[in-house]
Amino acid sequence: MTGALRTADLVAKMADYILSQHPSRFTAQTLPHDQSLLELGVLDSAGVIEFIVFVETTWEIQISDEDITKERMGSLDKMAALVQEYAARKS
Amino acid sequence: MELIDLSDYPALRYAPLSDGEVLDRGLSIGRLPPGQYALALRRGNTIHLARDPVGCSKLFFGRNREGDLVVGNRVVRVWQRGVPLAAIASCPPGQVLEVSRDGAAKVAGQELCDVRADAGLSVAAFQVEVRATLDRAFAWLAREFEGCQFAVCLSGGLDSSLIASFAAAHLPGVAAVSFTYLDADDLRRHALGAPAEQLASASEDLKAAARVASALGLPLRPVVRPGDAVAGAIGASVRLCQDWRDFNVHCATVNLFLAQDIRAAFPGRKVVVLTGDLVNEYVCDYREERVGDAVYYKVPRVPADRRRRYFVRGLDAGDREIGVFWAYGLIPCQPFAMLAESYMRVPAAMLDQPDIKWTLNAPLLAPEALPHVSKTKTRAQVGGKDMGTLGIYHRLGVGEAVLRRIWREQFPGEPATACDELIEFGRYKPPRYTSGR
Repeated sequence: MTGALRTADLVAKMADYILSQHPSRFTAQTLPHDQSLLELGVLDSAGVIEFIVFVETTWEIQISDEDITKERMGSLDKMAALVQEYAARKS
Repeated sequence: MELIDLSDYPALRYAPLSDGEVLDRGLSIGRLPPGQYALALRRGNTIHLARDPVGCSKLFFGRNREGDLVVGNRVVRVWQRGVPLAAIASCPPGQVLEVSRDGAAKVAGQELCDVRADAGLSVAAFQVEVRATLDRAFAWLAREFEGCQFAVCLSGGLDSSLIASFAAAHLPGVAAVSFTYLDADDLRRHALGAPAEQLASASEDLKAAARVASALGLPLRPVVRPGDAVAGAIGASVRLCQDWRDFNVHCATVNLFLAQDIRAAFPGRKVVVLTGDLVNEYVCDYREERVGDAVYYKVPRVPADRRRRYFVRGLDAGDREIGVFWAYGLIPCQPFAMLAESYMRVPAAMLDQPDIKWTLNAPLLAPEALPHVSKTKTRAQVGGKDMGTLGIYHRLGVGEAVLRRIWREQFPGEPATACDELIEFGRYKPPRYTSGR
């Protein structure tokens, strides 16, 4: 947990978005938090961009181009950590 | 650490700047000048890499088993010199990297997407700036390539017609080239002397290009192929454009046919090939395409400024122009690379206007060409009957799985994941930085 943003809350909100906007074979119970949604076929390349914009808009951050990598954004868990990092920098 | 520099793409800087001067400018003011270039420069024990702000020229690097730094424009060449795919990275557009035994550090540079939009942008002032920049760029081309043959790829749309207008005004002996598929009957008629643009199966692009070329006084060389030619061009399209994603591969196929015929038309000559690429990314003027029930070239449903950001940053990956034309010994030239910052200042509110590209650029056309330019928004790879190249790939059943397989086949022995990870989130894989700014 960093500041007011709890990892579990961040992941849950992201998962809600993914499940509602990009329907797939996964449910809230089965959507993996530690795997690439691109590689799982949940998101396509346009979907990834929509997801990034959702994250930026929801948590009022602008993710730098150099952080748009698999290492930093390759799963919901990694995305949550990235959001916490940006939020911490803001506060 | 030895530097093995395999870079061979031609550098166009539109100014009398050496590699060292480009690098020094980047290091001193933090921004690299516009153009098309990718360079590796050793000074003493320091090796710097730098790449143009748009990312027109590609620049891959990595260390081989002997510890040498191998640098090149083509990832396959770097790999063939002993650098495992997982160890190959790309220098991001507009960046200066310092590479040592410890890794790569970012020491200067600017992301194009960080250029601030100008909410109060004056269209008239924008047009003055664009015209002045293109005038300077074409004057430089005329001097730098004196005595060379010039060819302009003309689809009859706004972007290529604008480049053709400036080419006609500034450069000697320019030939226009335009592509179309023809059916078997029309191919026979064309072989017997019928002008391609007058044939029923010719694309509307070719017909518009013929009108624009005529208005500008440029001779038109139609490049014609039967639809059957695509099957034989798929492998080369993937390899030369260094990408497996359909929108780039389809475009590379059209460029491949153009390159083959331009090379054949001017054997032994130094040929500069001008294209009107990049503006569609700058003003995010793309839409998705449908063939039957299938959706291609999906466009993210996000606000225009965010769409532009991802289109422009995506110019990093894929080599459908320089990679293809240079493979035929032609010098590709994308003059709109000089205007990236100008277009990035166009505010989001303007990007949402219908026909914004027309508003911005049509007044810059040669007046005699203006009435003939097609206002239909058609991608080069979609022009023609039955969705052009895209339609042919679709009917052949050649989708991303096949293209990805062709891509992987270039790297025998490498795991599929290493092949696929060369492009991540729409960009070539950046290095893992050790330190830097």
